[in-house]
Amino acid sequence: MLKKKILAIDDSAIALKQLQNILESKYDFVGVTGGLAGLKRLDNEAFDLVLLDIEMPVMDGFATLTSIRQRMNLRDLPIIFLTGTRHKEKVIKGITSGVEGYIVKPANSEQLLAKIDAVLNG
Amino acid sequence: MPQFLIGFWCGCVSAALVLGLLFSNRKKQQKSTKEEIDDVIEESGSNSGTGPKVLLIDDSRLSRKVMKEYLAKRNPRVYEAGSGIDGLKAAKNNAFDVIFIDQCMPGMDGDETLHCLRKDGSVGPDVPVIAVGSTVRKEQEAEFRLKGYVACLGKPIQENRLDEIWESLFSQSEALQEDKDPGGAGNQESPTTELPKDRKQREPEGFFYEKGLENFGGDDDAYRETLVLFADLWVERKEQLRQFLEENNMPEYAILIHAIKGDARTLGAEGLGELAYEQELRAKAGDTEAISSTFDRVIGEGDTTAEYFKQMYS
Repeated sequence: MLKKKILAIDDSAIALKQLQNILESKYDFVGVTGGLAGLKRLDNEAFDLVLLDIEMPVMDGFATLTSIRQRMNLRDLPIIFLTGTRHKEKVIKGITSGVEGYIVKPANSEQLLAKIDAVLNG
Repeated sequence: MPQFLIGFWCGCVSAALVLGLLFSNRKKQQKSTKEEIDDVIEESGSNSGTGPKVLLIDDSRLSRKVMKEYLAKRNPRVYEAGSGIDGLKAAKNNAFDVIFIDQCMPGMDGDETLHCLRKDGSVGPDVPVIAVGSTVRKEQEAEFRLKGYVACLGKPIQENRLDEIWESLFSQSEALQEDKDPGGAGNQESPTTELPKDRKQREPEGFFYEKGLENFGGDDDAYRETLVLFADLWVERKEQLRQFLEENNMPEYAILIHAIKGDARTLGAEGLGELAYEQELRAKAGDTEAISSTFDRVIGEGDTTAEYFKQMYS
């Protein structure tokens, strides 16, 4: 069976490496640095889920999310926010913006896999 | 917000909670070194306080230390947990008189921790629980009460506010213990979650290898490789921080120090993570003066941490 494809967008190479380490055995994992690089990748490749960091320079998670949703073919793409903080207003903004959930960084492997599994297999 | 979205969201959160509990149960059978140490300390009876039994659940060791210092004059029996999961474990094995829960923790946050504590019955409705956090303000107390807390306490901890809360909880049943015991709890040791000091002689104080390793699913090679990557990145990052500070560019400074904070915590470098977090809050408030005054400390901690990673794991 083909592995599901996950795109992680984060400005931190460390965070991407951690995600890759946890996810690559179960999923087809691609990590890119920054919102613009993420959009470029999404324009050229199909993914089953996106992990999106909120706080990034140049184009943050919310701006990236808006751009993703503006693309008709990506309107239903499941997205999980990655956040280092747990500010209520940000979480609410994320939910109302149409993401499937959020993960507080650093998430351990079990929590991360459980959340992704819940979103992909609901 | 669409109804289905609310339902879906709640479903995800519930699933995560259930899985978290299942995971915590499974982990009982495979105790980590840290848990084993906790058990030994609890059984040793090294906590000799005679006051109320207090549980501090906070991922920041520094915050727990500050709380313990402020509480010392009450001569409490303080127990510490570095995460929501560890807090659940501690509460299963002990009956506490009061519990302080940090709101912002990785994995299981304050609200989820409280929810699980109450749900599994390990903490009864009569046990007061206080919400603690850097974004918590006294004016939000009504909001926190609705969630099941009895009070809230902002960070950095204000001693008089802590005293106020304590008095409201224990003034009827407890006189200050300092009269009985002038030495207070300062002479006692509380159970801690620290790893053995002799693991590596040069290990920075705020670095927790086991915690970082857990974030990499126990993959030692990948974890060590990432520690070295952090050390390599640090050289460039600290120069960027310096540049942003010189340019008084606090928005960019905040974003970079936020990334450093996240990376440090992911890798188990809690000391650096805590300093970076404090700077992030200052930078977001545009407080250049505060950033300048603590800049050398952050760079020094980063240098020490990066150098250690490089030397030990290259």
